[in-house]
Amino acid sequence: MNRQHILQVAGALWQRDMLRFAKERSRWLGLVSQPLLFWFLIGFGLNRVVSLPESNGNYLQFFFSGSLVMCVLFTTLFGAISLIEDAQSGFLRAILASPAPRLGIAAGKIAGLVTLVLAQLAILLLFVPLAGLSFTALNWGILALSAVLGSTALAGLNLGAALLINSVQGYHAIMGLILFPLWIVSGAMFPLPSEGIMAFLAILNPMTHIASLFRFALIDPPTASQLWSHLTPLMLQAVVCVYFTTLMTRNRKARHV
Amino acid sequence: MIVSLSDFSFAYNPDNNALVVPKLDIAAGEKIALVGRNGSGKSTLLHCLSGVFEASSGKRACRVEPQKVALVFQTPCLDKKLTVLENLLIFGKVWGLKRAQIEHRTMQLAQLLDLESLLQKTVGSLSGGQQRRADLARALLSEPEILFLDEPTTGLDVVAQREFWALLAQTKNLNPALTLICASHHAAELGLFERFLFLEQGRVELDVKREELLSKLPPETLEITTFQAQQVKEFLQQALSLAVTEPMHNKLLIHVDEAEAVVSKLKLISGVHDAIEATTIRKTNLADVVLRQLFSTHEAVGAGTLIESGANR
Repeated sequence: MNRQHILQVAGALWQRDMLRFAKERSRWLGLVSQPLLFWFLIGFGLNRVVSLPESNGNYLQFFFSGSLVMCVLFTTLFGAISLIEDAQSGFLRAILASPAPRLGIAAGKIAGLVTLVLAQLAILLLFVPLAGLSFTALNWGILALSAVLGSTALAGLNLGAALLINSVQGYHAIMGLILFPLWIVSGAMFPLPSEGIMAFLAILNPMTHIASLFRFALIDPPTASQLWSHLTPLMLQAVVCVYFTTLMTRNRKARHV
Repeated sequence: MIVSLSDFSFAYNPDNNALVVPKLDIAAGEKIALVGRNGSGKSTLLHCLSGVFEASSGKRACRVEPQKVALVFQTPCLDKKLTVLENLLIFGKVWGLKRAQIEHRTMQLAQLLDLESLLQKTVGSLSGGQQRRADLARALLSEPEILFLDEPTTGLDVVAQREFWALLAQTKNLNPALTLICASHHAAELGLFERFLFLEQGRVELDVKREELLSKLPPETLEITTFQAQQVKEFLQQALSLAVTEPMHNKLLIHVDEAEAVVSKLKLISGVHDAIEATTIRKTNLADVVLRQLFSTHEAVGAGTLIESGANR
């Protein structure tokens, strides 16, 4: 496999996403408004009635980290829908019919989405003072690492699924039936139980780890073991999801070009 | 041989082979048209030859590296939100070209395909014909040795179609040895090609060179415009034993050695003569032969027998 070609393809597809982002700024930045609205309505609404004995923060602060997870989910999800649009417009067909290494295609698409997620998280973080948090108190290292790993995992998962599903309507169904419920039970909206089936399933859900890591960075500084208990599975999930997208680009070639 | 298929089959689903090719060899520099009706297997064969579809069974051999194989699809593949230049830059990188190569090649192709004034425009703002030209530039960017075209003028008006083929003919200025393989069902747009593969039901029913194909029909063509095509056709077939092609509902084509003699006979039959609006005598051309062959291949396969099968020879 030609490493230089992989990087070149990834770079080209990343550049293309950035060019499109520059031309469709309002479409992508509009995605920030939904988590903000959720945070504002649910966070302020429940802040007075919900107490979190195991957390340093109040519900408004707790749910701020959950809103950041929602931003990661929505951006990667709409990125997947734009991939389906690429398939319908023929752009994807030309890319898949090219000699481009599949890993380069997957990496380029994922890198584009990760960049968009980071840009949107940066905008959302401007609202940190509204949640009663200080910029200097945040753990920026954990925040950046979990944002990159989390968006890589969700971008890989969404893009791979989009290559498999091939229909915008089908993808909306996936969003409503699987991804949005997974966000709700990730610990983004309420603390998860530490035992039982839900706790076990939560380990498999990348959003659980993103939500926990965001919370560590914002309000609950972790111990080393707490940090690694979420960082390790998220790293593994990121690798698996990149592989999943790469595999789907290979399968896609034979099925749909 | 630059591309070969042997004992090759391709199936979209396991129960049904969409394409079966016992043997097919393509030499470097050949200009080949894959001709057939909708659903005959032209595009499938094209994608199998290009390597986009992998064999369900059998073997494909290609002596060209993947970077030198290019495809033009039925619809342009460019990103409509980006400019032509941005598209070419991105596709050049995807093909593994260096930036300097891409820039040099882009300028060369922009001049050849008359794209210079369109480079900074977004693809979505261009006409269908302009988008096709830009898409052709995308395909030619990597200086391919083989160019596959899958019904590349689908959706274009007659003028844009003619312009597309004229520009494609000019690509020989860039690479005279370019191998062209094109799927099409438009008989009138195959003037560029030297070898013809007629397909029906996923089989190559006839593989023939241009000269041989042209020799299949008599030199003169009588074009009859009539409002009673069926009645006139039956008369020509039954009374005069002529093979008639009916490309449109009010038009009949007859290929004969002396068309004037047929016109004279028609004038004598008042019932038939009255139904004829106009007759035109002209030389038989490639489009006539392709059209006739398309009809005969379809009729022969449909009837279970072949008039002439040169498949895979």
